[in-house]
Amino acid sequence: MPFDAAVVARHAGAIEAAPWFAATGLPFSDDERGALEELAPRIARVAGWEQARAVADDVRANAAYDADAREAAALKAQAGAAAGTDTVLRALSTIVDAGLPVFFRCAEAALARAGLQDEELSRVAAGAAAEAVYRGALAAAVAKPTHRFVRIETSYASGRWPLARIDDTLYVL
Amino acid sequence: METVSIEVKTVAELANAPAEYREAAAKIVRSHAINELYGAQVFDEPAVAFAPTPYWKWLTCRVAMEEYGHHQRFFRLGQKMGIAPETMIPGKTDKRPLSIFEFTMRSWPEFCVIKLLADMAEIIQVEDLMECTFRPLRDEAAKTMPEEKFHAGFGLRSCTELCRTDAGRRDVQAAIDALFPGMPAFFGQPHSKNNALYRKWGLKQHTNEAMRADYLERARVLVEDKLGLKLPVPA
Repeated sequence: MPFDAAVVARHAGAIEAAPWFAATGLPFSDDERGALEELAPRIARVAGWEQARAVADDVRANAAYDADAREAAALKAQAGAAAGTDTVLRALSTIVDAGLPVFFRCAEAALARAGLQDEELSRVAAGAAAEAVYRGALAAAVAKPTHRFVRIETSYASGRWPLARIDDTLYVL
Repeated sequence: METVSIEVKTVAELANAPAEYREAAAKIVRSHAINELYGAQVFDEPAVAFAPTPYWKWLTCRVAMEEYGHHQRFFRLGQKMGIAPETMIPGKTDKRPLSIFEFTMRSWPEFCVIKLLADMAEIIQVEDLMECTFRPLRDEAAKTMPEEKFHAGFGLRSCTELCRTDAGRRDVQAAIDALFPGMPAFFGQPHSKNNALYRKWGLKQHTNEAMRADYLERARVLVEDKLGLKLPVPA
């Protein structure tokens, strides 16, 4: 399985312009719902940030999170075997560099639009977005453009926060 | 001790500063670049796996990114100052990271206590730099401070959450007992020659002993007054 650092660079380059968290709390369009239904059998819309906090802090979300973490580790190992660990880490660090100011700023702005100011929740959202883009770029770079990590990243980049999958339901702010 | 009145406003001005000043400033910048990155690598990144829910995992992920960002700030300043990049990267330089990083973290409560107590130590060091005579370093310290304060606050909040149960209180106390005795060494040796040099040039304001004493009192307030736990005797 190859590792294409240029793909990661494209994902990093797209971070600045995407409307992170801009659609949080809004109803889904038909297209959005269709895309989300490819990620889980049932989709539940989370209407507000406080509910989002509760869903993200639900221990029942750990099973799906841990499965994704194992998948991310497997992809990273594949990428490392193909291109060398240093090359992979150097490429992926561009996601961290590009996302560091952007994700937090956008999360703060989205919370402010909802009439909230919450440094911790802004950081949680920023951390989630960074993780999603990191994993999406990694999956795309090992030649899997249809991987669910890429779809999840796309949902974030369209302004949503796919919070957690609990059993067969994906909760999305 | 002799002190010298000096202020270096830009990296370009640093070229005209005495060699002793330049070397002392470089030592501080190099140390911060190394230790910010090493801390993220050995504590913050691995802690994501220990965190109890996605909420805390993402928060920890963000904290790790911010610590990495602090490394980047000091690294970029170091590059502008002409410091060789490889001497600011742990693993590529002979300079050892601080001894606190030898602590083997095994659990979420241990990570929360690291944020509570180690990040408080970092805050005291960064506060000292905020009066530094080398203005670019002072500016980087000022930019770093709000995030450092959040990280220490994260430690207090997460430890407070854990202490809501008896088992959690025992875990936090055990982590404090394991981590804290080594913490005062973070501030370096008493009567340190390096520290004397830093104070001579106004790069630092306080002795290692004074910062250590300040730390012990702040740690006591956190552990005993706020968490209702016991602070062990420092080593």
